[in-house]
Amino acid sequence: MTTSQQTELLIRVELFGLPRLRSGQRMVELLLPAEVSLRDVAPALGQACPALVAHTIREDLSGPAEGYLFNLNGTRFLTGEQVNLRPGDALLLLSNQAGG
Amino acid sequence: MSRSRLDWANAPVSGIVLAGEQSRRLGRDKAVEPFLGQPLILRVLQRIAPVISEAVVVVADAARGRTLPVGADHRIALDLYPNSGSLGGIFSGLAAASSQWSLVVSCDMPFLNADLLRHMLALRQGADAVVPVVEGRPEPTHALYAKACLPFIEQRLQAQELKISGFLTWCGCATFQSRK
Repeated sequence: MTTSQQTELLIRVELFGLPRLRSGQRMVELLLPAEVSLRDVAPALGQACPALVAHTIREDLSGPAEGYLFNLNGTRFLTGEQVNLRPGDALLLLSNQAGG
Repeated sequence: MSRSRLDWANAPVSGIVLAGEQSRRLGRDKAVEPFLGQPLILRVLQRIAPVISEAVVVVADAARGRTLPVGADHRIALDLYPNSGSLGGIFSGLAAASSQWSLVVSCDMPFLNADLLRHMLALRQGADAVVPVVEGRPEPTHALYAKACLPFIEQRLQAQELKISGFLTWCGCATFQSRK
């Protein structure tokens, strides 16, 4: 029995605070190759939201800019470690200075 | 301040969520801001659920209490000292809570950590409040308060001295350094 090999992954990125204001979007859906890791998200997000480049995303698209970080599914803050994403994952792009 | 001989270790803890009014800085209602597909306040209630016996949501007025999507199993308490910021909210929640001890949090804290909250619960002995200190600054809206604090909070409310950290010096407050 052959199983259909998933070739693409839909990743949801929720934006808050300044990134939301700059991009004018609350949430961005990125269609990425199946074997995607966190390092691939920044370039795709930069392409989808050019206004974030050099502000929320590093100019070289290597990751979030200083003062910003990704959180995976509302449970885990991602600080540089290698993470492979799965279908339905949600990433939150947050300022690490946000607070009540 | 007299210490209650309560068996604090197992005493139930009420949860108080400060959801006063619309956020002036955000310009819209922070409590219902969508977060991972649900209103932020619902997420906060879920995050504290493992450590509390009841949840009390403090709001500025009855109309707000009716509109917040918190469901029937959470109690709404009206702010007894309107326009008095978080200190008024803490007082109103403490007064409405059934338990001697209450965990007070804000409605905009989506990453509340149950292990940290349990650690705080374990620090209550001999104290009237348990407050984390992050980089030298107390976090009074991520803290535990005993009802014994009520008269002291009310004194400051009546004197319109609304800075919470000012009140903390009046009570037996257990603080602990918390890495952010």
